[in-house]
Amino acid sequence: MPDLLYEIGAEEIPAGYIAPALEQLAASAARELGEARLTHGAIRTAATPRRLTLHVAGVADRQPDAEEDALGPSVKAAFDAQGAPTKAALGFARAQGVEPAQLLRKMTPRGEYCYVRKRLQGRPAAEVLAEILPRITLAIGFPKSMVWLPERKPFARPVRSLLALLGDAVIPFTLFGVVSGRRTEGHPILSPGPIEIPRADLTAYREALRARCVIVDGVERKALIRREIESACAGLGRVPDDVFERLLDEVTNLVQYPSVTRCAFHAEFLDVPDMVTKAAMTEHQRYFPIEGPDGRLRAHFLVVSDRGPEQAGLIRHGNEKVLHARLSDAQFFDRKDRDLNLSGHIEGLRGVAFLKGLGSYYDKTQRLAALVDALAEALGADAGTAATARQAAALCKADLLTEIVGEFPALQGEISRVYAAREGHPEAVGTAIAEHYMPRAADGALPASPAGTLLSLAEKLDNMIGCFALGLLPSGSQDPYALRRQSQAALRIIERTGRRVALKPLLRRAQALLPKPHCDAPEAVDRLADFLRDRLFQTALDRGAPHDLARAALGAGHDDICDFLARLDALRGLSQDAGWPELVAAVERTGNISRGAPEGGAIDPALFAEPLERDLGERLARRGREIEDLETQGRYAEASRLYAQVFGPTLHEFFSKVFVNVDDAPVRANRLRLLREINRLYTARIADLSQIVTGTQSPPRDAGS
Amino acid sequence: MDFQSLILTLTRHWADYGCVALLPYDMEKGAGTFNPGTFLRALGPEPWKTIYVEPSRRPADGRYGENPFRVGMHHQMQVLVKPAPADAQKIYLDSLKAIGIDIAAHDVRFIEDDWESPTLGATGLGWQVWLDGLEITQYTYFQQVAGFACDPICVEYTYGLERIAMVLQGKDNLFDLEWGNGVTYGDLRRREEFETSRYNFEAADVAMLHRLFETYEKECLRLAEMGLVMPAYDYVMKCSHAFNLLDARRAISVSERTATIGRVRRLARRVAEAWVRQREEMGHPLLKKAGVV
Repeated sequence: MPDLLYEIGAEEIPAGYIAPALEQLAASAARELGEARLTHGAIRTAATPRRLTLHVAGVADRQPDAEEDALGPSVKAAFDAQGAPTKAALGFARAQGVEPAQLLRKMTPRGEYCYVRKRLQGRPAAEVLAEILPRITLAIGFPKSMVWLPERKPFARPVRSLLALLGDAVIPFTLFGVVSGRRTEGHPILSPGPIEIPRADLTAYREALRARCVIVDGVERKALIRREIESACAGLGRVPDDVFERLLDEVTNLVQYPSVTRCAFHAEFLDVPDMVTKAAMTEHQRYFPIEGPDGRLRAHFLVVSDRGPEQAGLIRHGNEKVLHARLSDAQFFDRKDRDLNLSGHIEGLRGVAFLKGLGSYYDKTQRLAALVDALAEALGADAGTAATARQAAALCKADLLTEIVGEFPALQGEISRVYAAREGHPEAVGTAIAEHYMPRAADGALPASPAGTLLSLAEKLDNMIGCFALGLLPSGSQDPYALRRQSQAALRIIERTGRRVALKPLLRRAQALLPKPHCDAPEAVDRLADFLRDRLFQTALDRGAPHDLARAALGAGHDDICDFLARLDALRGLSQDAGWPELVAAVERTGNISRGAPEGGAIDPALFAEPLERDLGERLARRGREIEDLETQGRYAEASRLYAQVFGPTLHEFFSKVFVNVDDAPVRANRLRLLREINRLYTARIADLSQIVTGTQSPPRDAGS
Repeated sequence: MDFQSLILTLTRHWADYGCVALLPYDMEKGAGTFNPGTFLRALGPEPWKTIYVEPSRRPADGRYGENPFRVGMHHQMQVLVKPAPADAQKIYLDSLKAIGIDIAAHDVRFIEDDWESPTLGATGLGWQVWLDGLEITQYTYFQQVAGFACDPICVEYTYGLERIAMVLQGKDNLFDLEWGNGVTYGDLRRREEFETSRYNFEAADVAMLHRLFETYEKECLRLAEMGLVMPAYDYVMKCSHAFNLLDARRAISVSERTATIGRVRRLARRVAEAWVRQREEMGHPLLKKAGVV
C-alpha cells in the first residue's frame, strides 16, 4: 500500500502558528481518512517556516465497497391505514431511486422506520484524496489568516506550492491557484529552486531537502540548536531558564537550516540592569543571553541564524552592531533614569491620567497608600509590612515615567526592583512594587511577599471599585478593563492569606477614596459585591464543586472569601456522608414551614404544647450554643454533623407527628419561631441547604440572588 | 554605494520591473504609505505598480542629531505592486541583489510582523525582513485600506534606506553616510535634525497646532463633500502631521489620543470613499489601459 506525502509550501508562516497547525493537520487527516474508509498506518508531520508536511504510511489503494442505510419516514407516516404508500414514502423512494415496494423497515429507538440499503462503490484513493487534501488544508485555523487572491480563500500566509503524492503518483487538484505536483523548494536563499520528489517516501523527502539546505523536521532542528547553544556557552555559563525554552521553541520555527554564532558586546554595557539587557536581546532580536554561575549576565550572546556555519564572521559582525545600537539606547535611557530615580517621577505622575474620571496616577498612588493601611488592619499584617507597603504604594507607578519602561513596556513593575534598590529603598519595597501587578496571567503566580500581597490587593480593589463607580461594567464578552481577571486575582490573593475578612467594608473604604462627587454612586459597592459573588461562584465550579453546593454555600454569605471556601469544602465532604439527606431534609423543612412567618419575639417554653416540640426546644437551648461555637471556630463539618445528630431524628419525628399550623395563634407563632431558630442556626452560618437539588431536575446555571 | 546611488539603483530596478517612478509627495507625512500613490491607489480594481522615495517625518523619533541611529525624518523607499504577484518574495530578494547585497553571504530572515495604521484604517499581514538581525524592510500584503477590503490584494515593500546604506557602507553612524559626490548625510541633515528636534519637542506652538488641527479637519470635510478628492486628501495629511507634532510635544493625553486618531481615520475614510466613487465614475481608466476591460 502506498504512502501519502503532502506538503503545503508557503511564504514564511509565523513561528507560533506552526505547532498548532500541524496538530490540526494530523487530526483532520485521521478523521477524513477514517470517514472515507481508507485504512492507513502512522501519521507523521514536519514543518519549517516555509512548509507544513503531512506523511501517512500505507494508505489503502482504494476504498472498499460498502453499504449504507438511508433512513426515510417512519412506517406510520409512510403507509396509510390500507397499507398504501403515502406521499412521504413516494417522495423518499423517488429521491433514493427505488420503487416504493422496495422500501425496507427497521426498528430504531424512535420507532419503526423505512430505509433503503445503498451500495457504495469504492473509489480509488487518489481520487478521494484529491478532495480530502484541499479540505484539510482549508480547515486549519490560524490566530490570523490573510487573503492574497481574488478567490479570497484564507491561509496564514500565501501558499506558493503544493506537493501531493500517493506512492509515486501525483494526487491532482488545484488550490489557491496552485496546481498540485511533485515539486518542493530548497532554501530560498542558500539553495533556491525546485526539487522533484519521485515518491512519497518520508526519508527520501527529508534527505532531498537536507541536500538543499532545509532540515524539515522541527524536532531535529530543535535538538541541533540546543546542542550548538550548549557547546557555544561552554566555559561562560548558561542561557537563563526563564528565556531558554521559550526562545528555543520560537527560534526553531524561524529557521530551516540553523546554526549558532557566538557574539559579544562591549563590557561597558554590563552596567545596564540585566533585565533590561535581556529584554533588549530577547524581545525583538531573539538573541540568547548567557548567564555566569554568579547569576549575572556575561558580555556574550548567541544568534541562531538560518544558514550553515560558513560566513559566521559577517553574521556576527552584523548582529553585534544591531545589539550595540539597542544597548546604546538602553544605556542612554538607564542613565537618564538614574538622574530622577523613582522618587523624582512622583510629582510627574500628577500629569498622567489614569482612567478618565479617576484622576491621575498620582491620585491613584495616594489611594493605594490609604487602602494598603486599611488592608493591613483587616488582614492583620504587622506594622513593618504596612509601612513597606505604604512606601511601595507611593512609588509603584513612578516607573511609568521612566525612559526604560517607555522603551520596554514589558519591564513595567519589574524594573522597580532595580530602581528602588538603587535609590536606597529596602529590597522589600522593590519586591512589593514588582509584585503588585501579579498575577500577570489568569493562573499566574501570586505575590509572594507580605507587602506585595497588600499592595497587589489594593491595586485590584481600586481598579475594580473605580470602574464600578463610573459604571464601566463588563458585559457579555466585553471586559475592556479586565475586571473579571482582576476580580479572580483578588479572590485568589485573599484566599491565599487564609484570613477571615469582610469585603464590603473594604470596598466602601476604597470607594470613599475615589474622586468626588462623580464616583459616589451608592450602588457601586453592592454591584461590585454581586459581581465578586458571581466570580466566586464560577471559581467554585471551576474547582469541581456541584452547582447546588456552591449556591447553598453562597446562601450563607460570600463577603468573607476564606469562610465561604471553608464552608463549601465542608459541604463537599458532608455531601458524601450517609447522613447528608437527613441533614438537607431537616434544614429544608424547617426553612419551608417557617418562611413568611412573622419575625421577632423570643421562644417561650411555656407555650410548648407537644412533647416533641419541647424536646426540640430543649435541644436548641442545650446544644445550640455548642453548634454555634463550632461554627465560630470555622469547624463547619463538625458543626454540621453535630447539628444533624442533635436535630435530625427528632425533627423527622416531629414533622411526621406534629401538626404545626394549629389554630391557637400564640402556640403556632411560638412553634414557627422555634423552627425558624433551628433553621437559622444552620442556614445563617453554614449554608442554605434549600438550594440542594435532590431530584433529577437540572441545576440552575448561574448564581442568581 | 552612496545614498543617492542607492535611491537611483532601487528606482531603476523597480522601474524596469514595470513600476511607475513617482516623486515624493510634497507634504509632511509619517510614512510612505500616506503618499496617495499608495493610500488611494491601493484601493479599487485598477492594476498599479509604483516606486518612490518618501521623506518620512516622525517628530517623536528626533534626537537632536545626536543619536547615531535615530532621526526625526528618515527616508523610506516605497514599492507597491497590485495585484500581488505569485513571486512576490523572489522579486524582493532580486532587488537586494541589485543594490549589491550578497544575500547568500548574510542571514536574511522574514519575521512575522502584522502591520496596522490606525490613522489610515489600514491593516496588512507580512514580515519585517532582517539582514543579520537588522530590520531593513517591511514586506506587507495589504488586507484593508481606509476600512475597505483590498481587492485585488497588493503587496507593499518599505525599505529603510538609512539602515540599508549603513550596511552597504559599513558605517556605525548614519550621519557619516556618504550621500553623494563627497557630501555626507551629516553635512546635509545634522543641523536640520537639531532644529526640527528643538521645534518638535520645545518650540512648537501647541495652541496653534490644536487650532490648525480643527481647521484642517473642517476643510477636509468641506472639500470631500464637494468631490475635490485630492485637495481633501491633502488636509488629511496635514491633520495627521499636526497630530504627530502634538504627540511629540506630549500635548495629547492618553484618553484623547485614541479619539484624535479616530478623527483622522474618519477623514481618511471619507476621502477614500470619494476616491473609490470617482474612479468608478471615470470607468477605472487604468483597468482599460491594461486591456483588462
